[in-house]
Amino acid sequence: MKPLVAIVEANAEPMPGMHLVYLHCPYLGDTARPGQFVMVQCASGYDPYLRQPLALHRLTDQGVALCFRSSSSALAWLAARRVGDAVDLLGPCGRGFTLSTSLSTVSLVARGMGIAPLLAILDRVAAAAQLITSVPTAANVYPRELLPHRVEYMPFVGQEQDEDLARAITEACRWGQRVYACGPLSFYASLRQALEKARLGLREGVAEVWIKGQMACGMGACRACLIETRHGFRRVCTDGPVFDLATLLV
Amino acid sequence: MIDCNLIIGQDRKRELLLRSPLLPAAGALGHAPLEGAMWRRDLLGAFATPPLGGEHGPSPNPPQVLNTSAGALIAPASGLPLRIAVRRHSREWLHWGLPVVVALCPATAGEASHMAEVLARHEWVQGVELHLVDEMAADGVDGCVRAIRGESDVPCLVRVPFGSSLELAIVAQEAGADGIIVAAPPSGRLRVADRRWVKGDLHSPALVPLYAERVHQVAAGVTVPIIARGEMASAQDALTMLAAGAAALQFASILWVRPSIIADVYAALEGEMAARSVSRWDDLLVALQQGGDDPTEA
Repeated sequence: MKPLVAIVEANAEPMPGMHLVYLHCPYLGDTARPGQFVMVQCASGYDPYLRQPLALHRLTDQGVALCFRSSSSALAWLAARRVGDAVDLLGPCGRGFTLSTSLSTVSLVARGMGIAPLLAILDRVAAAAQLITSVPTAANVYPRELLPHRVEYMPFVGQEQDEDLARAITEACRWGQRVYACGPLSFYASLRQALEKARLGLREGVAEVWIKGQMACGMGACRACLIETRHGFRRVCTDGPVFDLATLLV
Repeated sequence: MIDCNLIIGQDRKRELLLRSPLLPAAGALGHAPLEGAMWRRDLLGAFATPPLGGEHGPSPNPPQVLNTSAGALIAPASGLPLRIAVRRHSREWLHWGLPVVVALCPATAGEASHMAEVLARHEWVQGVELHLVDEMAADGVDGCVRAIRGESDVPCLVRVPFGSSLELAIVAQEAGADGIIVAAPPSGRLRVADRRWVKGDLHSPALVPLYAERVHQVAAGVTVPIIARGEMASAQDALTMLAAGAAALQFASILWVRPSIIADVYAALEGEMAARSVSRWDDLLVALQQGGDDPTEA
């Protein structure tokens, strides 16, 4: 991790309220791994004071893309950056997903904005991929055209399709050699059940999940992001944000 | 480089020598300082551990981070018990090659005595930083400082609360404290969306004038060195604290927001010394503290 200045290369709003910001930063393009995040200073002064943790959404040769909802004044500031603007970052932070070139199939499962940290996996793994997303409204569906062609994409909208969604997740858990997921903690309990059903139990090394922790420092100092795992308390910012699902107490 | 030879605890068997007046606040770098490009260790005077508890550690405390206007309310997780922290992390603390100051957060004088006894077995400990729990009264402070002085050969720094800085600084000095850290972050509370209240420490550069006022008050009441702790976010903030009476500076959450702050302030202080044609740190302090206006008269 080190202090960086990135330059905004593109800034789009592919869905209402969701922003996709491409940053030119060759150091991140070279060194960052899927699942890692950056701490972004979302102000020209100190209001807001703390940096915002944002997952690396896509990895390019020359930088990264961030995907976020402008749900706070900090993120609204970032969403308002224009092409050519400089953005102050610390990164890459945290431990990313465990990836292997020997993987031939991967399943990605996201709830809500959980798609943000998952797509970078597709930039580093050439495996066939299934992507299942669950979003509250049709306006929240991630655009198909932003995904690589090899991805089999299954977006689910609202709660009326819950049974179909559960069935699809179980199938994806069976199909993919590895499962990568991101969503709220409650979602991981149902994912665990799906994996146990699909694979007759859950052992370490099968599924990894991305935890959105509340962070003040993002560098392992403040301990504000501690979560309890089967191996004791861990810091989301430096021990994670990627954890093996089998180690989580969900 | 700044010619700093600031000695804390000159009458102790083992004194604490600070080669730089810039320090990380206890816990600001966590247990294992990040290497390399984040901070230059040669610009820091010491490494301070996060606050450590007794055998069972401080009472459980769910971590919370809430943004405020130009600041944040942070309720960090409880610190590790001293023995566990020393066993797990002391090699990392020593790795930086800086004097190690161990921050302790005892609940009672008895616990302080026990913790100081544990630390006395470790020669690498070069200072103790006593953090006072919120509700500790003057007799409790007196007891904790005397307990640490009784069991330990190394200097004892006392971090006083924001709200009663002067009163407890005087108590701590009379009990034998070798230096005073002014001050702990003020406590605040916020009501969150689900109608719960969150209590935590308030961090913001907007508080610098309030910290400066505390430093000024304490400087008028004690004779031991004062280390100003706060969210100094610029060289001007640092100079303000020094002019108010501080001999050294501890940087807290600003290190997470602007990691370059140490290098920036260090360079600015070098420039200030050059501009005033002084070569030693003590001379800069004299120039700032004698030449400045009395902030109470401003």
